[in-house]
Amino acid sequence: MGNLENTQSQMRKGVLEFCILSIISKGEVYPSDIIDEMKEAKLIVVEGTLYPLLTRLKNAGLLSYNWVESNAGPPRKYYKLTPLGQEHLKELKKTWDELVDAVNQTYHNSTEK
Amino acid sequence: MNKTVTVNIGGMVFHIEELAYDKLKNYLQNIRCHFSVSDGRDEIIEDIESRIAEILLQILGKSRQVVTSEDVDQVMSVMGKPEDFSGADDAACSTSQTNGDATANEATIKRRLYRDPDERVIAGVCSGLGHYFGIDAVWLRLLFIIIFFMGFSGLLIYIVLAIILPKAITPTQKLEMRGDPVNISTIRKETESPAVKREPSGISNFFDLMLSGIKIILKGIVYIITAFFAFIALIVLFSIGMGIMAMLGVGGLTIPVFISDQFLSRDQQMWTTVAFILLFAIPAVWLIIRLVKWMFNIKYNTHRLNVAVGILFILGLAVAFFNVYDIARDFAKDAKIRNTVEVLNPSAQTLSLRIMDDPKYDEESQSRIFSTRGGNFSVTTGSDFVFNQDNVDFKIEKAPTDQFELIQIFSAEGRTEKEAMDNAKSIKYNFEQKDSTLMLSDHFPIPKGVKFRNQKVLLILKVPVGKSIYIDESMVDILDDIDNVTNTWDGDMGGHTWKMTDAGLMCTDFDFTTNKSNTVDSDDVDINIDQHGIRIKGKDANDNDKNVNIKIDKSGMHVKTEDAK
Repeated sequence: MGNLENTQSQMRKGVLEFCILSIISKGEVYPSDIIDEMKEAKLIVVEGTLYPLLTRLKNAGLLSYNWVESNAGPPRKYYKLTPLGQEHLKELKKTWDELVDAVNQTYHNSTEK
Repeated sequence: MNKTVTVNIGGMVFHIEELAYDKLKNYLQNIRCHFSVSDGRDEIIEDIESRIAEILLQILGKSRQVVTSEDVDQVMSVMGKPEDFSGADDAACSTSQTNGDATANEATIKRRLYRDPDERVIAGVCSGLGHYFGIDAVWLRLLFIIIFFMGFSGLLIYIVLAIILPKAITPTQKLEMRGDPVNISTIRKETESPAVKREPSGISNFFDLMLSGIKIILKGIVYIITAFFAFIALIVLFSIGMGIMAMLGVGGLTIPVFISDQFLSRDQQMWTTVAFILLFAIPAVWLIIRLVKWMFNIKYNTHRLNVAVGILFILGLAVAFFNVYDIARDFAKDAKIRNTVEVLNPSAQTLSLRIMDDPKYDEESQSRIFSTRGGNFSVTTGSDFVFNQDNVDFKIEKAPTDQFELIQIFSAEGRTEKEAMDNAKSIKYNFEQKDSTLMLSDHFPIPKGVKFRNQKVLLILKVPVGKSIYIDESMVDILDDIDNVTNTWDGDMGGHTWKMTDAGLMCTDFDFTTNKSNTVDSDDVDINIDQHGIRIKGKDANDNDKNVNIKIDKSGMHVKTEDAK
């Protein structure tokens, strides 16, 4: 069981970055919005996971943010993709499609046998 | 009710309960140690703090102001455990502890002095001191060994330190001892991989045993002393309680009520009770609270209680002072009544004087509650309480005529002269003449409803010159410095017949001028005083078989020792 959970979490972690980038690619977003969407997709359970990831992507130059005043608390960071980020996302999309193909192919082949 | 602290989270001000604050602080600390600086730790923390602020604002809404522990739990469940965060693992935590970033934290953490049971040689005092001062324990051990050899005090210092320093047992204590920050992750680390234990030596085991023995004995002594004081305090409290109950006339304790009624007015009794409660009962309860608090090591602030007890005590002093002043005023004035009673000349030559039998008074003298000898008053119990004043004095003077006379002088005190006079008038002194015997009373009752105001009876018997009186032994107690030609003490006058002469009273049946009257006889010592000098004969204090004779006369002092047989 522990092994299964580990693999599952590894798989989720792998696609996490791709998903976040694709959510942000729709426009300027606030982390909370990302979380809502991710929670719906059951990719993230706790919010804490997101912040280190965003910081890492921002430090890698894939994201940039604007401060926006909020009337419900401290000012919020709204993230958007940098050109580099868009490039990165494209690459990831390509890789993802390939992966899906690869998974489908291997999985179906193995089930047909 | 909980104490709150004000914190700044993500630039917002929050009032947060202390417990919740500790929880949140630990949580953030925990997150912090999961990331390194290169991960962009500060920014991550900042983002997370901002989000926490937002969530808290949402939870609190408009109706609440203070963040509670439950709110922090909710925040933590939304944000998740640091272990669930991606991008870092537990290794990062431990490395961040050891690298330079952690030192900033350490500076603010208080190091505590403990004994280190893991690295001890004897009791772990040196290693504990070593941790505290950041010195290798070896140097301290060396220092102690040097002090040991310089004098016994070194050992004493060590033992005292071993007794007063607590042993670091829990992980928190061990962290405090080393000056490490105390948070969930460090505690976990401490619990999971405790420091390597040095095998305790034989000396240390022996020392441990001795130390715990000393501690048990000291504790025992302290408990015994405490119990003793608690016992005394309880007795004091109990007797005060009884006294108060008696004063208030509760349940059968009517005797003291009667007594107090004889002395004090109702108001004075009430104020006396108030003063007793303020001066004794409350401090006694306070003392017991302190003792219990100390015995069971209960920690709560009694400052206000102390102040209150202090104020009540001062109030009690004031009440007592004014009450005593008020009582004293009842004795301010005095009055005397003098009346003369003729005593029939006895048919015999001699008038006998004796104390009248009062079967009730004598029988119950055993059950007197209190009496002052030769003096003031006594109370007899029984079906009927009698408050007896014993202050009766008797004098003998020369009569100007050839008629016996008895002068009674009643005196008493009171708040006003009229009151004093009334009190004096209330005295009913009893005496009786049966032919040649005059029977006097050595006490007189103070009736109920009359207060004790130092009532006195002075009797003066006027004896005509040439007439004799016989003073019975029973009279001795009331004789008051009776003049006589031989200057015989009142105590020796009883049992003899005295004749009034022009010079004064003279004993007719015994020669008080002879040396016999001056002989003191006790079991061990004879003292003889006469015109030749003083002779003292007694047993040697150091040797029972020897007698010592001491003679002091004109020629000087002589001491002679002889065998007793």
